[in-house]
Amino acid sequence: MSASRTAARGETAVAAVLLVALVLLVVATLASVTVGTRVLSPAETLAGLLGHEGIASTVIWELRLPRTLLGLLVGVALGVAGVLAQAVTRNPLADPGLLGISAGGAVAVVAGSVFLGLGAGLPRVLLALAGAALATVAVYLFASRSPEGLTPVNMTLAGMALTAFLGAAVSATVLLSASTMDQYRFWVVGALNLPDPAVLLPAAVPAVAGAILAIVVSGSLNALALGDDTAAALGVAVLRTRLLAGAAVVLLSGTAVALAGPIAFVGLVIPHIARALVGTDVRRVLAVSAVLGPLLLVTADVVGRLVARPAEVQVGVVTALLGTPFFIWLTRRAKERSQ
Amino acid sequence: MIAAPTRTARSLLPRPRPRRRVVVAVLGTLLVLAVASAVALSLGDEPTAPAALWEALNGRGPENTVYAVLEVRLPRVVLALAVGTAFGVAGGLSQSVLRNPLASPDVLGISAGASVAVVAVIAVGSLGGPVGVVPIPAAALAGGLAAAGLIALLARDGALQGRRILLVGIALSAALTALTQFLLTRIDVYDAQRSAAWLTGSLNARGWGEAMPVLVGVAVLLPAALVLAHTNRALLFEDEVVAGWGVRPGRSRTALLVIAVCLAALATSAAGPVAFVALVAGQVARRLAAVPDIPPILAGAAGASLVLVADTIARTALPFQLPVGVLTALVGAPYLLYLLQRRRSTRGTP
Amino acid sequence: MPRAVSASVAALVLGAVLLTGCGAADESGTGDNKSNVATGQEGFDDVRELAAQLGTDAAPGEFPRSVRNLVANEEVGETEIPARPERVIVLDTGELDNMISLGIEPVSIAHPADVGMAPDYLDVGDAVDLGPYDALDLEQIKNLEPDLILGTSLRIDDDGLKRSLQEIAPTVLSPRPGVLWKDNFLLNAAAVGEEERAQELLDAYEERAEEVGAEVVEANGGEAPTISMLRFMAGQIRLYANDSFVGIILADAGLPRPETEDIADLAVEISAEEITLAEGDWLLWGTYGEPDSTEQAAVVDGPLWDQVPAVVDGGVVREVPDETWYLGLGVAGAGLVLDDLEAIAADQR
Repeated sequence: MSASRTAARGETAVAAVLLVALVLLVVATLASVTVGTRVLSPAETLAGLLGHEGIASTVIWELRLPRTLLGLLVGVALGVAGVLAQAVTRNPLADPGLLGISAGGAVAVVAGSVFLGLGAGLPRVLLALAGAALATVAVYLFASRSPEGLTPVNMTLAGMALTAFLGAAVSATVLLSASTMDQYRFWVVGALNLPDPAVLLPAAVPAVAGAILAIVVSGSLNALALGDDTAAALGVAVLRTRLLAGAAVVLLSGTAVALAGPIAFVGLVIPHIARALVGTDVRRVLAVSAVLGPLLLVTADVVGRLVARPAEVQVGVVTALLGTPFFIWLTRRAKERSQ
Repeated sequence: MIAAPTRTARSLLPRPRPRRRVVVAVLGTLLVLAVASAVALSLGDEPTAPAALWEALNGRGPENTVYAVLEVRLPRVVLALAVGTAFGVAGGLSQSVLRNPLASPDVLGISAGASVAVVAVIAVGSLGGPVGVVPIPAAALAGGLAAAGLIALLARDGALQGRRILLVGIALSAALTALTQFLLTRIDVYDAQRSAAWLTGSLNARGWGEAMPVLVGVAVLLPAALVLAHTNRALLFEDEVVAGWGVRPGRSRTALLVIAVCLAALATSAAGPVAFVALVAGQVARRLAAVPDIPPILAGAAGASLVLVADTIARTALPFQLPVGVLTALVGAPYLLYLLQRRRSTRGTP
Repeated sequence: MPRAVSASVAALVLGAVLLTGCGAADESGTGDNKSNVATGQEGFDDVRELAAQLGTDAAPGEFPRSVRNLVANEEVGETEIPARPERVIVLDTGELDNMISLGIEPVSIAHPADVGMAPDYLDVGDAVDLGPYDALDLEQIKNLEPDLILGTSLRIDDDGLKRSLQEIAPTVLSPRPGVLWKDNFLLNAAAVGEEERAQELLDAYEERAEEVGAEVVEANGGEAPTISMLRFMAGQIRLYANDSFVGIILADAGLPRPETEDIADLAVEISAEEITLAEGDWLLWGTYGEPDSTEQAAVVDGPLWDQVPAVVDGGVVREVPDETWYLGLGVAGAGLVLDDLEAIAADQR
């Protein structure tokens, strides 16, 4: 991440990127409310949008709109969380999914529903936040205690190990009961089916808090990219920045997990695309990722609704299939750069 | 800032191999195996006393006891030993070759590939296609080898780079796991439950039919691995160093890795991806032997002990039989986290 | 970076192939906006033909007899039964229902992994719990000294396991549970020499089905209501069609189905947005397993429910017990379905 690349792009370029991304997001949002497993003719869709046609109007405004709003919220949360995770760990492979943070939240949710009988709603959000926080601390500790310190590979492996561990604990529980199995196998994929749209509003609170934290620390994160010593010399409180950014990651990815399950790769891919578009300034990357994240998620959800009608391919599967080639490409690029 | 700081390899020279310790470790593990086998043969729906066990092994005694020992427990014990050996050797070899204690068939995509293939076969049956036309072991073998091949292809860059393979393996496994989970959401709950048991790794209701291919595989591939590993201690060192000695490391490394992949795929086809056995067996063997390269025989014996003990507990501890993978996962996953902390370096020490 | 590009393409293609592969697998039928839930091992006509080949040529009650059944996945063979069986092991709930209906108490019972040994409506006495049918302990089965084992080829789908069971005791396997429940009942009865009793029970059931059908018509003001059978399962919403347990019962009762469900298949899968495809004058729905893991709440309490025809027109909209209506068990379960239907009709009067 060279500073010269940042300087090479002006404010207008960033504004142009943001504008195009926003236009695409509006298109994706429109597609998300008009396209679904129930086929509506253009006339029905128009009437439904205007509220003239009973069934179409209900489908669009009461079924698809909440789902689309959920996709937007989760997309923003994952995109911003990815930027923060990558900046704070200086790890281009960081992603709430790969680092085991999502798995922590997911396991807490499953455990809560199996052992405590907690259903969807605010308790689930809080559980997911607690699980995500614990997992973040665990991965950080495990990776930093290895003698090489917080290298990208160590963090990825620690996340993988934690995910495997939590997965083993869950599969032991799940195998003993098919009804738990039933809940888990749908939950774990990551999908935008929200049983009760009323949850959306309270659940958005921690996400908004996380986003505000992200904006607050973004300037300091720029300095952090230059290394801890340089950042300290520039007057940045390194530890405080790390803690705040970590808290923001937990708030954002915890909310995302609670609402939509562990969706992988969005947090990984989006910041990279954003950096390719607007350079490495964390503030710009944050702004662009906050638009590209929901764009990817909503688009993937629309694709997932269409390919296996009347069933749906869960959005988490679509993002994993899109994200893997990108991740592999990244590891190759990282290798070439280091040579 | 992308690459991790590279440390100089601690030692560039081969240390003398502490042979005696290796021999003692192998003998000790074999003793554990013998005792575990005897116990496993005695335990079942109705326990068998040692004298009656000996009679039954020779085909004498009450019909039900002979049936239990020879037709049910013996094939299962043999299968556990074969699968454990194959996973253990595979784990030991891949950890040596990739110089990483976290390398295992799970990471190399075999588990994820086999899982997708098996759940796909079950899904075809569940969704109205033919049942039992593609045998599940065949599907698992094909899926595992295909995924491993794809990872090798994607990570290939002249020589097989240890960490690149790991990262590519993790990524591809994640995508394949997503596909598996998607398929699981498409099939009915009976088939999902059956798939889950297979995905965990299980020896339930399996016998000679599943054990034979693995036994043959171990009989052929283990000696090959021993010869290759023995004549090529160079695989422990950096490619540049080894090349300086006039050895071509790439080829024998690749050969050892291919052997590891085949063994793990065979074992997976018979028992499903029994979690963490390969990983734990390799590390246990390394610690027992206290040598930097993992002796394949020791890793195999450790794997066999682990699977046999875990399976005996899994089938006798509760009124009904648990898949063995539940037990190995509950032991293996914390061990993985422990290893990660103890890990000195990705280089030099496997 | 051509290799990276080709690598990405390879991974994408792999994913696409797998996805379209399973997409293709469920689109076996009617095209347009719904896919049929495919059902048989080889499609339904074949399974019916297959079931028709099974049974015995022995005179009623005569032993030894030989029973034609599925000795391997793709093979009909003969199983010799030397004497009237007294220690029967059943490997699934359908066989259990059949035996209890014939007055035979099995010595041991295997069952799906997460449910108990038997549904509430069947009294199994002191039968031994054999555990889930996908983790059978052969040693335990041998020690129970059965003289007959009953199951379905679909659940015991491993040929090696089929042979192992056959070595322990004569084993009679029908093709699959559900749509073949009457054939399975007769096949199981043939194995225990109760074929005449089984036929009597089936005749009595069919007679009663017609009576109940008539009561429903009467309760609906003399006109037969079309009945929609809706079922919530984890990740799926289904409308059950003619080739299902409940579809056969409704047909036996002479009650019509709405157009969408009047097809020769197990069920039609729909999405939550398409819930108004449940077009019957009456709408009966059930939920498999935990309601929380299905979309039941989102649909039944959801905004679109008020636009489902039966709700709009004030027809019967009722939840029915999944255990009897949908699990496809046997003649005793079918009798309970008729009881429920009769009670619903009585409520309408």
